[in-house]
Amino acid sequence: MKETRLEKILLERTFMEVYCHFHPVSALRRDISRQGAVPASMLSSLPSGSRVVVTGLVIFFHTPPTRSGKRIIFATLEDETGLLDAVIMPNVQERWGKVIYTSEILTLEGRLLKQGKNGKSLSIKAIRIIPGLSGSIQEVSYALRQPITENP
Amino acid sequence: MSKYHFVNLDVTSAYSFLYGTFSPRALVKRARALGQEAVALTDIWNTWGVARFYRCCLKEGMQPIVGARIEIEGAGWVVLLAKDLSGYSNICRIISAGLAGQKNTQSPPSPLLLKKVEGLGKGIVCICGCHGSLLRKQASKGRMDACKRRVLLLERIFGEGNLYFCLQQNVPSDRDANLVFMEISRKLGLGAVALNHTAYLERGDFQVHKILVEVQRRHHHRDIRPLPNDSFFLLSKEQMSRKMEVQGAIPASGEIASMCSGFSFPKGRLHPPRFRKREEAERILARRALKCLARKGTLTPFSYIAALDRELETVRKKGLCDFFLLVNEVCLFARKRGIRHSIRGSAAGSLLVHLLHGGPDPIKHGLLFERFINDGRNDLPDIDIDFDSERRDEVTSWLIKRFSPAVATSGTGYSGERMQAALVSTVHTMRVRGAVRLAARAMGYPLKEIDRLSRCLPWSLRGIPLLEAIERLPELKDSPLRHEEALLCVAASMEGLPFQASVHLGGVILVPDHINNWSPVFPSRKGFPIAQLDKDDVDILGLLKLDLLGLRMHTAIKKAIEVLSQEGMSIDMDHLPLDDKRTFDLLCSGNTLGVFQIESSGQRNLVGRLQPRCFDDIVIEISLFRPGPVKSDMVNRFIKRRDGAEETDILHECLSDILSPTCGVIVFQEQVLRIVHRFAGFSYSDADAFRRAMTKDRSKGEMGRLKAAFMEGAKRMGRDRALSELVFERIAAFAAYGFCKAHAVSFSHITWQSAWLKAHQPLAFYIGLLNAGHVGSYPPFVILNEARRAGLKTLPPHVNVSGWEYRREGNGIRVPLHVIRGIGIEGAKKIVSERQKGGRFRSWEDFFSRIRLSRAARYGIIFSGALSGLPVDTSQGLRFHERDAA
Repeated sequence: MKETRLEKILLERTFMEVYCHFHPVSALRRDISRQGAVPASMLSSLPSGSRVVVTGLVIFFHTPPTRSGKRIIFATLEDETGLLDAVIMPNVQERWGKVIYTSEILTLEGRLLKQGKNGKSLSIKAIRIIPGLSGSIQEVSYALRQPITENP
Repeated sequence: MSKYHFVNLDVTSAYSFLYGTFSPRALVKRARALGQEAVALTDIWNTWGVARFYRCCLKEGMQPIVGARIEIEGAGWVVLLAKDLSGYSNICRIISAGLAGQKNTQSPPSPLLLKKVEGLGKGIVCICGCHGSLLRKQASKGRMDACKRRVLLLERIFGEGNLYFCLQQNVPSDRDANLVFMEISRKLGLGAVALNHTAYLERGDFQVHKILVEVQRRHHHRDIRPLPNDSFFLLSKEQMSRKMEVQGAIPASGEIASMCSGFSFPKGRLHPPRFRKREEAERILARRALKCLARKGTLTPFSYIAALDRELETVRKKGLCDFFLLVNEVCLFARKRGIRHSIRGSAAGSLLVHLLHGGPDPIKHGLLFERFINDGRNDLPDIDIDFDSERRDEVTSWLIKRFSPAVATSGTGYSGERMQAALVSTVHTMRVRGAVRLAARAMGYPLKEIDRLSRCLPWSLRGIPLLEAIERLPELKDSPLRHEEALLCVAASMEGLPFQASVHLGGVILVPDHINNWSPVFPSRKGFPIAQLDKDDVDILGLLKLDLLGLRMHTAIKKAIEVLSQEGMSIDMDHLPLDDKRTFDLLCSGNTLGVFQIESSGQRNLVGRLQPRCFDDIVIEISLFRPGPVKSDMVNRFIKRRDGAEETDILHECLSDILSPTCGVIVFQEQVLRIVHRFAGFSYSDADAFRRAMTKDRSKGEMGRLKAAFMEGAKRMGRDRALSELVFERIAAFAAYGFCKAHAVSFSHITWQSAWLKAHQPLAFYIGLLNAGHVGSYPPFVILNEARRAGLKTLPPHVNVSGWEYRREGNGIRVPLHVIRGIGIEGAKKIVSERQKGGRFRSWEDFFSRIRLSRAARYGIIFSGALSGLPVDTSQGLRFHERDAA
């Protein structure tokens, strides 16, 4: 029997260090789109200041020292269309700190901030973490598919 | 009579890894608080902490007594203390001898044979009969004759008057041993001294010591026991007087301290080994430089000749010709072997360096030699070289063998023979997550519980103490760790303590005499000698360090070129056109993942905003992206001015050519030097001293002093006072954030090369990146995802096609076998080699009969699809798994 895209991704995640066929987020795209998430490639066509929801695989967090001493997390996520750079402010960390640091996939809602001419130079001031769409790949796919299978 | 009453002479700091509980600095502070004027540092088989201990003592006005605790066969643990520099050198030789034959450098060595210490006793005070030693055991059993025989042997080595018995009072059996030692010392005319072996500064730290030793037992499986009770802490004179009843034993410690007062390290910065006469070196250097200049082109502009003449004169005056020739030899070796390399740092601003060692042309890029070397700097200049990280060891090996030939012949012949070079080491300190996990393990927590407790705990807390972080960090709000008070206390005490040493990434020290005059050495896995000095210690001692660094981007570029050459393409990466449109388009798009220096999220953002249009824009971009300029809004100001949204303010016409390239924003340190030189008439060396002072000490007093000097100079130059104040203010605001332009130019060349490859040869670029190990910030799966987004096929691993590296396959990248979990590079190599020997694998059975793999690796091979398309006998397959399960 042929594996589904999600099964293939889960196999690759378990047995390999890279994804050879699909990006993990691509398997969730249809469902996360229903929740309002847009792909990274679309952000360049949206106007600065738009409210957006994005879902991405966590690549790394960077917390450089700041003058105020407050911790600001610069998160780099990735979906199947590109990289997503987000700035997570202390008030968001206060509420979602544990989810941020323990999730493989994060769904962020925030305001798009564009600087300069190029569409790639953007950042999302995260204002909300969407819990059902954040967690390990299995958790997210389970959360997404559960209502669909129960109530087709 | 000694000026000291009691001195702690047997003190092991945290540099006795996973045993001592305090830093040398804390030791000196504690000894000072106890009213003592001298203290010893005697770590177990090492001198890691000596340099910083020495510096702390001098700062606190205390006498440093340096030494080590070692184990000699037949005598057991002894404390060796250096009476002078020759004694220290001998202690280093003794430790080196002990560590030479060691297979595992992290484990304590076996006891040293007495014959290996022979001839090395000069300048050393030896205190024998310490806790855990054979002598003490024999003494406590009353075996006086056996003790005497061994003691006489030790006295022969260390000389009359230099051997003491250790009198301690920590456990009940000590009383008997002390009596026997006193008896022998009276009969043989030897000294006896009161000691209290110290592994923790205060009684309460005993628990931390116990946990550290437990880590050794559980984690490293070492046969070691913690100290028997909580009495092994740093004693005051009064505490020792109450403890020790033997007459004269306490003052003896003061006498020994006085004997050791002759020890001090030489002052000032030392020069590297000389291999030629000064005049000869000057002649050779000038000839080589002129030859290289002549090779540059048929017509040499006067500016080059003038600059070279000026640089040669400065180098000659400072006696650095030999040093330049040495670096030249290193670069020539790399060039001959075809090892990619580049110069980094301020050295790239020198024409001499450019001609001899390569790198950017300083005249073309407007760089400043005086930022690198000037008359006002007394320290030796640093010339840091980046090599292809895969081949850096070839250069290191050549350099080590050139200055320490003993290594080449015997591998472990570390004493006696000529030995002037060794690798610098790095001491790792315990970070918070590691401290919690190790402490929990030592305290007997089960592994699952340790995982649960350390979940969400970052590796490092950037200076926030653990107990404070638990309260402050939101992700730790509900952490179960909050309820583990005992564990938290111990982990907080362990955090920041040194716990193991390894090799520094590229530092090689060169000493004028013998390395053992400065430090013990121990062999690395590759057989190189490693000094027990880290990079800060090298600075404290004023030794010369050459940084032969490994740069993985060089490796990535090399690997990309290899891919292209397999298709018959040959590209001269060092002479790429610097006006290539496609490369600029790529940079402007911000799609710079994998491009050297501009791939982080912030850099991608900045490069997209900056829209570089020429090579200098890349140099500026690299210089601007640092915390200082970002915080002080230099970035926005530069972009606004460059795009005409804000007026460029040059301040004075004489500064026009200095400031207009950066739209009036001071981006580079070289600009500060030039402004101060031209506006206030400072010499370049004074201007550099001004810049350094402004960068290091920005106190009100110091800034006031600098301002007065600047205003005075500007007045002499006839400048308007109000304008002078404005110029000073501008310099003061930006000087601390200025970046070395020479370094930025040097790095920008590598940025350009990698961006060019990504723009023109993306397939080769991605393969190069993936095969070069961990280049930059992104893990391989992100690079592979990006390659797929760029339209390249990413082909899964297969036992009949994949190699042990990523390789080109049509318009795609074939993923290697080592990405399968459990296989690793060695497993992948094994599979490839078997395929080359025995032909393609025909079926599952064929594969598993020819390749033996671990269970995890076998599952990986099956479920990753690496056997897809090969026939499988299901019953065989099932049997295979059943066998595993059994």
